[in-house]
Amino acid sequence: MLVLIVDSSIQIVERLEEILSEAEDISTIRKAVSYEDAIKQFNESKPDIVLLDIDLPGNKSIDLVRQIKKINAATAAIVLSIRVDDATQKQYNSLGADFFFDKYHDFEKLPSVVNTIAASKKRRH
Amino acid sequence: MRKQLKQIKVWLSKKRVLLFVLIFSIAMPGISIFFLAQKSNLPYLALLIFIVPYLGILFFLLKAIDRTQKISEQLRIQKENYKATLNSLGEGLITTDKQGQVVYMNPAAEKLTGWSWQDAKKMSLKNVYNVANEETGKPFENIVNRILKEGKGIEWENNTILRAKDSGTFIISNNGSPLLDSNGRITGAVLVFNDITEKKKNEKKLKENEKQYSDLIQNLPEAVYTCDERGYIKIYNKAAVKLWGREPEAGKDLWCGTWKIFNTDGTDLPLDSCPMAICLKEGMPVHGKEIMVQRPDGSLRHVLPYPSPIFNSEGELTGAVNMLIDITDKKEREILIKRSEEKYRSIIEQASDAILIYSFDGTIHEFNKSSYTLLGYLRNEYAKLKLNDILVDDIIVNQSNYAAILAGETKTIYRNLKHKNGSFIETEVTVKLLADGKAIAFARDISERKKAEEELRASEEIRKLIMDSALDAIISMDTAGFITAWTPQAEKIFGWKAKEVIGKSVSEIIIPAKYREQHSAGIQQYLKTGEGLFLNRLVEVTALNKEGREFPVELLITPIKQGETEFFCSFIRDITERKKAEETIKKEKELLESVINSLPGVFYFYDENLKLLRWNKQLENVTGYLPAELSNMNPADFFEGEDRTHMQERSRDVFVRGSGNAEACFTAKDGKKVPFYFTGLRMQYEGRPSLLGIGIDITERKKIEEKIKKSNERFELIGRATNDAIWEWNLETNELWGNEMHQQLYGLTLADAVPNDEEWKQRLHAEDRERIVKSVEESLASESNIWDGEYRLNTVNKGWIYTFGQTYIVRNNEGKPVRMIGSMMDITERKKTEEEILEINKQLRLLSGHLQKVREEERTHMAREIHDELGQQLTVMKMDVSWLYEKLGNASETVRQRTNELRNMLDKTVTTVRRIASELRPSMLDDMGLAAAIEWHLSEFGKRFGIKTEFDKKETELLLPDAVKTGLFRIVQESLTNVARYAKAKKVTVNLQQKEGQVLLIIKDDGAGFEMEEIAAKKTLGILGMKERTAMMGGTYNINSTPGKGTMVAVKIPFEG
Repeated sequence: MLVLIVDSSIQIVERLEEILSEAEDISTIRKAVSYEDAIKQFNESKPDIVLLDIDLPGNKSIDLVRQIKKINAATAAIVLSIRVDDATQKQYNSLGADFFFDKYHDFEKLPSVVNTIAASKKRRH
Repeated sequence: MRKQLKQIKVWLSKKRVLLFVLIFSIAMPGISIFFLAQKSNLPYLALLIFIVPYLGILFFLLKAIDRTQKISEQLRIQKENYKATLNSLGEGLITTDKQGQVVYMNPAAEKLTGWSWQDAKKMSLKNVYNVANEETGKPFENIVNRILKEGKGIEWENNTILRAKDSGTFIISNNGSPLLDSNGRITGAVLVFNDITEKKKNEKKLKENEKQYSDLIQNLPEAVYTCDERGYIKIYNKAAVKLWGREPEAGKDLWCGTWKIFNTDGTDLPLDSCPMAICLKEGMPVHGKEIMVQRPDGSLRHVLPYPSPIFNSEGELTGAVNMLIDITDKKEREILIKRSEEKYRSIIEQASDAILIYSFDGTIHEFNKSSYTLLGYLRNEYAKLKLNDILVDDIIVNQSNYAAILAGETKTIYRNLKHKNGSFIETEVTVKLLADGKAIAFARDISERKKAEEELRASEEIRKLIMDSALDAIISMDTAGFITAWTPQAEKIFGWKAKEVIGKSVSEIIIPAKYREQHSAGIQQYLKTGEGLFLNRLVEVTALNKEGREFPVELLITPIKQGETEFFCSFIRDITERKKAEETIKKEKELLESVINSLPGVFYFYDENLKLLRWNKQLENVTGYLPAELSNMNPADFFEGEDRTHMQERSRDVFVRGSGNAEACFTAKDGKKVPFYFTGLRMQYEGRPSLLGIGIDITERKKIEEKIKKSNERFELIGRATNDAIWEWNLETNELWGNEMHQQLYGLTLADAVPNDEEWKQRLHAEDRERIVKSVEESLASESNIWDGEYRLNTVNKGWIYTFGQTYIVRNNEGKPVRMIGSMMDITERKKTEEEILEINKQLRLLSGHLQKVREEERTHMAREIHDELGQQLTVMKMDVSWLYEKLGNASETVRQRTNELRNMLDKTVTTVRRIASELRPSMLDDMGLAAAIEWHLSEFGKRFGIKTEFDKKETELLLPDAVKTGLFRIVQESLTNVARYAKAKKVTVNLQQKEGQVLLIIKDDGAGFEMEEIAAKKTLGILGMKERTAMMGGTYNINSTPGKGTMVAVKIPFEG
């Protein structure tokens, strides 16, 4: 499984990488700290899962979700947000985001979520 | 008697004819027979034939002579009788022969002509009886010739005067007849004439009396009229017709002769409520109510009516007399007096009297137009003259007059003035000392007046010479009371012909039955004593005519003794007409008396010597003097002090000018003073100028005038004292008044005309004009009494100013505006300040809006920084702490516990940070819109304070501008804070909807509520801030609360979504 982590904060990216390393099915983790970087890496690596922060500079997170789903709808989009109101969540759900998590409270759930996704993908294969 | 005389003449002529016939009858047959006898030679036969008739004739002749002698004797007696009659006859009698020569004159004729019979005998009548036409002075044609020529009687009177030989001239009435003999041939003429001077005089006097009384009413200077008890106008004078402007229609016009009458405030006064009608209704005088009368030509007169009822001797109301005092002129004059000095001067200039102000050294200081036109000078010529140049003698004033003038007396002097052409002009000069030592003189040309007076005197003399007398009826009767003579005049008066009454009893013919006994007793008494009550003196008795009608006569009975015979001669004059005239005069006099005594005011007239001739009861009542005292009083004695001199001057004026009026206080005998208004008129009374005056008690009017004066003064003073511009406009007369401040407001002075309605409208600002004019017109058309408004006014000196005008509209009984009184205030400064404040407020609001925006931006930034940056860092920390915690492994329990606490603390910190950020600026508001933000905030609020919340939103999303979105959210936020802080509410409901072009936000709680007044009194900046926010959004903020029933906030913002 290939995971792309997108966050403008490199500290967060590193920590998320560390947390995800616990997940079993992950083969490769790629990292991006900007929208452009993320699109480039997405196109190069065709990740199975994109873990993205909603606070990309220039409010590009929405675009990113849209692009991901457009390029490859099968890619699972996990949105991590520092803002956790219903409206934001609904907005991302409507864009096709598969998961919406409170970045602060829910980061510990990520390994199991990734596992679950991997499992379901395997079943489809 | 004249007939009897004629009979004598006929008889005398008959005798001559008889003689002639006798001689003729003797001579003619003798001569014819003699010729016959010569031819027939029968002389004896002839002689026989001649003698026989002669004898017969002789017999008859002798018989005739005997009869003639008897007749002559009778004739002699009769002649004696007639002579006696003629001698005692009051009328002149002259007989003439055929040639017009005097044959006989009776004593009366001698007296009247001034000729004695002896001297006049055989003289031509025209020398003795010298008559002429009274008016032309042309002698009459020879009367006798006319009588002789025409052979019939002629009669003339009234305008004939007889010039007596040496004792003057008489006015006579006379007639003449031819004398006929028995064959009807004219043998001469008889003239009968009478002195009627006295009669003429009496007639004249009667007429004059009558005229005087009617003149009195007619000439009353004020309108006087009477109505009968039903109100129909009966008697009215010239002044009344003049005042009414029309002649009233007899039997048609009721109460007042004018067309329409009004109250002084201009409202209609129905005729049946006019003072005259009320006076008749109530039988009481109605005094002091001023009215206005309208003439047919539309002109109005101010009138003070004084109707008084008239009662007859039984005390029944028979009508009323009304005097209308026309005070229009007085009112107008009062206005004139108020005019400037210039006007006064122009009046002097226009005066018909020459007016001069001069010093006693002869310098003329001032003069008017009349003073140089009188003397034929031009103005510039006259200006160079000294007083001596125009005086005939060089003395400016004599010593005694000078002293009197210096003592302050007003002197009237008769002076001759020198005309430019050298002639003299007689003048009457009134001189009075002025305060500065100069004298003022009023000179009046009296040459015309003198001439007129001279002519009057001459005509008076002529009048005295006018004489007359009625032709009396003459009746003679013998001592037994039988009529012996009955003249044609008696036939005329009594209707009986002479032949019907001669020989009959006087008593039965001309004396009414009831006096007959008295009559015969009178005769008996005379026969016994030689004295009689009715004899030899003029008495008025009642006589009886043929038709049985009784009538008054004037009677003179003269007993005449003729030898042994005695008879009575009566001269009788029918005085029916005179009696009637006297009766009429008496009645008119009584009416006049009652009218004069019923006059509400005083009435009097006095002559030039200031002797009171006549006055009414009222004068006695008002002055308290008795009639005997009044008759010796000078009219000036009724007045004291200034009034006395004033009235003396005014009285003199009336004698000079013909009429005048004055106001003065009557000082009664007891010292009480009563104000009166007098009008005077000069009139001729018994040939002398006298002053007819009436006066009206004006106490009430004075009081009212005083009141009006005071109130006017007060008004004037208020106008002066106040700082406000005050004006008054009388819509009826268009009179305008404005105080000094009013004029100043316009940039004018008191000397300038007060701007009228039109000018005011023109001076209004074009943008204000339509609005202001319309609103004034609406106020006038409504029933409102107040108008006010603000407008810009173009002033003369300051250009445009802001004005606040307030007007009080005075309306009459019908609600029609009659007067407007208003004030105006220059509010330019206030307006400027207001505008400045508005401008400042606007700028403050803009600034405040800008600050709000800046704040919101800062908050948004801060919220993001805190939430995102801090959140990010806290997330890293949490991840690290979590990692640390995992890695602790077998570390002590304390370390693990502490690490866990750190993690918990981090969780709390994140929660706090998130809350603070949201409160600073919910990111939702920007990301999700207002409704979402409110919904989120409500749920947060509910969770935090445990209050039930409800969000009722009709619109899912509104694309509101940022400022509005923020503004409304902040209001919700602050309102909810207030609910949490004060309301103790269980539930909060928020309602957001778009409706009719606006966004409506309602926040309602079920809390404790509050008193609106308390909130208003407190400086609640929270509410003020919300209001201010709303105002910035162009909306309205309302808060409503009732203690115990919660609070509701409603915000409306205009919005076209």
